[in-house]
Amino acid sequence: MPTKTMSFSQFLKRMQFGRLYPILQSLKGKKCWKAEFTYGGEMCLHFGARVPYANPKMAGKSKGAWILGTCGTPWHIVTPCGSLSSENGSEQEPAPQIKGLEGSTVANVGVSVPDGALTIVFTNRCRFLVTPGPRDRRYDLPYWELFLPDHGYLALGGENKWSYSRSNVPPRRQPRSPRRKAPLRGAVRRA
Amino acid sequence: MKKDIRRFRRFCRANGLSEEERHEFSDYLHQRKQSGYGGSAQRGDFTMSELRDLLTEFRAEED
Repeated sequence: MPTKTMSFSQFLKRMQFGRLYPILQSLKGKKCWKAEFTYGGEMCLHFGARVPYANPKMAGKSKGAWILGTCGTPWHIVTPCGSLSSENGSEQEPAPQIKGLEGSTVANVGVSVPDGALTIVFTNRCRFLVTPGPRDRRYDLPYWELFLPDHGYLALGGENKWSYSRSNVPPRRQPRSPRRKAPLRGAVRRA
Repeated sequence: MKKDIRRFRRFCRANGLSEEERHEFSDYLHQRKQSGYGGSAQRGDFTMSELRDLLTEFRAEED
């Protein structure tokens, strides 16, 4: 977040948003063909080519070459026929606004600073927004994530930190923190 | 909801799943829930032991 000692342009430079922009722009012109919830009630949008799932358990099903995950962050769909937000969108009965995104093409993508909100504008005048709030900072989760072709993985999280890594690399094991020696029984603490 | 997602991602990380595998596994669990084979936790979610069993099953198919 910009501080008194840092100008807004310095802030943008430090956060390297200039590098983030071209990655996001790769979504432009791609068709959204699936908008659905995944485990945990997370809304996901699938774009671009249909890629078969790698696991045989998912045989016959496809995922998007680009997948946007909302990571449980509030989202909104604005369409000419009405709006819908994560508060009133139901997993059991997908609203027509959700289904309305399917088949529409991305016209533009943008991230606003310093809140990290994502806006996707579609050619059919629909908009999909992910709008992180102060509550979303409490969790060690990204605000939103984007899977890209060739195993690219973009995640934007708290305090506008973002990362671009490979999605097919297992996480590194965290080194165990050294155990603290238990105090001897009967030991007297010095004041 | 965010708590559930965090819990699930921690489980996946602890079990060495990449982001891609985690997303695929998540879609598999959702598909199971939708087809009436949900877990015994609230709203048909899966308990940790159910998740462990399902992950073993999911991985076995990969080999």
